[in-house]
Parts: sequence; C-alpha cells; structure tokens
Amino acid sequence: MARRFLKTARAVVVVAILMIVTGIPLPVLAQTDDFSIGGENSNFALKTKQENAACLSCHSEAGIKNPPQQGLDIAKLATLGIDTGHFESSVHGDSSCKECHGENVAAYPHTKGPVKGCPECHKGSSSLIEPEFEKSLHHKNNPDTFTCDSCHDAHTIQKTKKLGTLSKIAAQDNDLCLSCHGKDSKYAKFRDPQLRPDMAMVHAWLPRLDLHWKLVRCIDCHTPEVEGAASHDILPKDKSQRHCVACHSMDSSLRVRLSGVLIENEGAKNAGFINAFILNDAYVVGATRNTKLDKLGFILFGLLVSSLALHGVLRIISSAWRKRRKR
Amino acid sequence: MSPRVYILALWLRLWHWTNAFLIIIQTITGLSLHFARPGAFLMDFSLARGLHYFCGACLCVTYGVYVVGNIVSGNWHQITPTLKGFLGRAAKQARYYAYGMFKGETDPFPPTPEQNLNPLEQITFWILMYLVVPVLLLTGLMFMFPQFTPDTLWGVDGLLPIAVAHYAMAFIIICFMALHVYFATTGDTLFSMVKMMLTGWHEPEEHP
Repeated sequence: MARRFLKTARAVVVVAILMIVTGIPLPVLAQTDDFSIGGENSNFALKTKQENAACLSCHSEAGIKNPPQQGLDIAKLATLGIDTGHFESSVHGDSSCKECHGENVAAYPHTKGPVKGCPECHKGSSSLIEPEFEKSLHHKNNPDTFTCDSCHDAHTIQKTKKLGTLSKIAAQDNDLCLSCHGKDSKYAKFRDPQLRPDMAMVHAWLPRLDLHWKLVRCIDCHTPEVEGAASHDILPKDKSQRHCVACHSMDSSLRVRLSGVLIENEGAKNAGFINAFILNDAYVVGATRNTKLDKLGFILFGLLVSSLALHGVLRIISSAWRKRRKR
Repeated sequence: MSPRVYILALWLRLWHWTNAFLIIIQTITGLSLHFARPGAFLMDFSLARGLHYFCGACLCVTYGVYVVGNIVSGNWHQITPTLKGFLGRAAKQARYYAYGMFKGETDPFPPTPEQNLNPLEQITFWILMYLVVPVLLLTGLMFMFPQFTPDTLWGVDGLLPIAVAHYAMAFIIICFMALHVYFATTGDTLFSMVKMMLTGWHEPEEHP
C-alpha cells in the first residue's frame, strides 16, 4: 500500500516538474483556465499588444524620433505617427493594427492594400448611422469625400460612456468638430477656408459661451434629438437648436441625448432633484431644480397668503362690526 | 388729530421704490428661469436671463447705496432693534396685529421721526437687509461669475449649493413681499402708509 502511494506521489512530482520546466499546463489547471473569465482574451490581448508594439516601434512619437531601422522615409513616417497613450485607451486600443490595416502591413516594407471600412465591423450601428449620415449636411455637401474618418480618428476615439463626465464627453466630441471648424488646414479639404465662419462670432448670441462649449456637445444643438446614441444627421444652422428651454427645462433634451451615457446621481435624485445625472458635472438652470423644495415652497407661500387673506377678512368684519356698534 | 410729520427722506423713498421695482422684475424673471419650459413660463428664457442679470447687477448697486446712505444719514439705527426690552415690545406689537387691531386699538408704536418702524418691522428688516439680501446678492454674483465657485461641493457641481441658497433667499424675499404689501395696508387708513412712502409725510388720521 505504502509502496503504491510512493509510486503515485513520485509520478505526480515528476509530472509536475516536467510541467514547470516545459511550460505545459497541468490538465486540471488548464481546465480552470478554460472557465476563467477573460483567460482567452488575456492571451489574445497579450498577442495583440505584441503585434501592435512592432507597428508602434515606428508609428509612434518615439519611433519617429528613434526609428528602429535605417533607410526609412522619416518625413512620410512623421505623418503616420500615432499617439500611443490615446490609442491604448481608445475604443480600438485592444484591437490588432492588422484587423483594419490588413495583412499587407504585417511585414516591412508594407505593400499597399485596402483599409477595412468602419461598417465592416460596426454592422449594427452602421445600419442606424448611415441613413442619418446620408441626410446630414456633411454628406450632402461632400458626397464623395466625407467619410467616418473625416471626423472620427479610430486611433484615439474613446467610448462616450467610458469618459463618464460631461466635460470629458464635450471635450472629445467638440474636438472632432473643431478639428475642421476651428482650423483652416483641415477645413480646406472640404471647402474654401475663406468661407469658414469664426466659431465665437457665430455663437455670440449664446450666453456663457465658455460654459456651453465646456459642457455641451456641438451635436446637442446641431443634430436632431435621438435617444441614447448621438445622431449623425448634422443639421444646417437654420435648423439647429436655438431655444434655450430645449435643455433648460424639466423635460431637458439632455436627458434623452445623454441617456445611458451618464450615471444618475442617486443621492441628488432621492433629495428631489430632477435630471440628477447632470448634477455630477453642472447645475443647469431650469433643468436641475428640486421638485420637493418647489412643492414645499408652494405650500408655505400658500399658507402665508391664506393667513394674510384671513387676517384681512377679519379686519374688514371687525371694522364693520365696530362701525355698526358706534351707530 | 396730531399734526403731520416728515419721516422718510427722499433718498430712502427713491431707494425703496427702485428696489421694489427691481425685486418685482427679479421675481418674474427668476420664476421664469427656474420653472422654464417650452412655450415660456411667464417670460421667454433668453429675455428673462438678460433682465435677471441686468436687474441683479442694479440691485447690487442699490444695496451699496442703501448701506452707504444708512451710514451717512444715520438711518441705520431705524432698522437696528434695541436689545433691551425688545421681546416685550415685539410681543406688544404682535398682540396688536393678532388681537388689538380687530378691537380698534391704536398702533402701540406709530411711526415717528425718531423711530419710524415698529419692533417687528425692525427685526424683519434687519434680518432681511443684513443677512438675506447679502446672501442673495453674493450667490447671484457667483452665478454671474461661476469661475469663482469651487468645481465640486459634496460630490455635486459647485454651483448646486449656491443655487439652493439663492433659491432659499429668493423664497424668503417673495414671502416678505407678500407680508410687506399686506402690512402696508394696516396704517391709519388703507393707503396711508403707501402715501407716506411716496411723500415722506406721516399724516395721522382717525383709525377706521
């Protein structure tokens, strides 16, 4: 019995040593890995990261400064650099470069090949976005040249929900608009830069422009209201929102436009504030009032006016009564 | 009948009516902004915002005029209650409003050049002018210059506590207006106190 136990124990130790040396996982542990959340994804992410590191060794700020190999066209490479910090936190940060740029970029020198279009992966959202985009001013004015990447930089864009605050969401979204509407260089790709209006001047009617630009997305006024997702139907200026109460009211448009993007402030909501999801970032007059305080105010004011009215009626009655007694 | 007496200086009457006009505008515009809705509540949002800012700035100026005028003219003592025996005097005035007035009694503290406000008016005006109005104006200024407010307070946007304080002070002032207008009718005749606020003269008449 003891000899049999020793034999089994020795076999287990030998197998274990072999596993450690060769790196082959124990069957039991392998089975655990299969069930572990993200086990496969972690390996995939590691592989992707390694692949992308090879690309970014050239196509990054560091790569452009210190190219890993001789004979590169540095001037051309400088136009093809990627902000690695932004890329890694972007919505495509865990995707392989090859997924969009194809196998032709796997080896150097690269051969020319098609870059995958956005709808090839984003099938679901594309079916919603495309009809909106086709109605938009951008598409109507530039039917052949305006594409997704005219606005969206696939290497830097982050999920709106992940950004979490109004100011970060507005900063990311408004930067997209201002990359053309704030600069002649990119605007010139689509239109004569002489025609580019001064953004501050055309928005001069808007009070507290600094706060609006900091906390409101351009698309909140320049697209139709769509629940949950931002509309891609960019409206002409005469059809854009100019009514303050569209946002500054109880039924604020922001509630619809930002639904599912911002987290409700439960404490403020329970205290009676409406549109409490905005309160983490801003107090919006008309949109974030406290209905409990309003009700309390109405009741107290009503009681006060009723008491004064009662006092007045008693004064009239007592005065009439005194006059009658005098007579 | 007692002879008429000059009680209220011109600057004080001008300040009073300017202030009254501005506060009425601020009430209408403030309610329009707070209860804003499509189709406008009382007044268009954009117009209400412009007027509220302008009249708010004017109120800051008139408040400054009031404080300086009080110091220069010595009027400050009119709204500063004398602590000694205050509760007894206030109770006497409260009894008059709650009971004596209906019996046809005379006002225990009729306006005189030395003391033109009764004890209850004094304490109300003192709290209003030295506590409520400064908080209202300061919070209003913070709305005008939000760069001076902290970004966040207690986990919410820094403007929220400012807004709630502004709202609470405005509510007190709206309640005060209702009280003030009603008690302005409790003089010797229905309009004698309004007349005094227009002419500066107190003309005692027989109580009806």
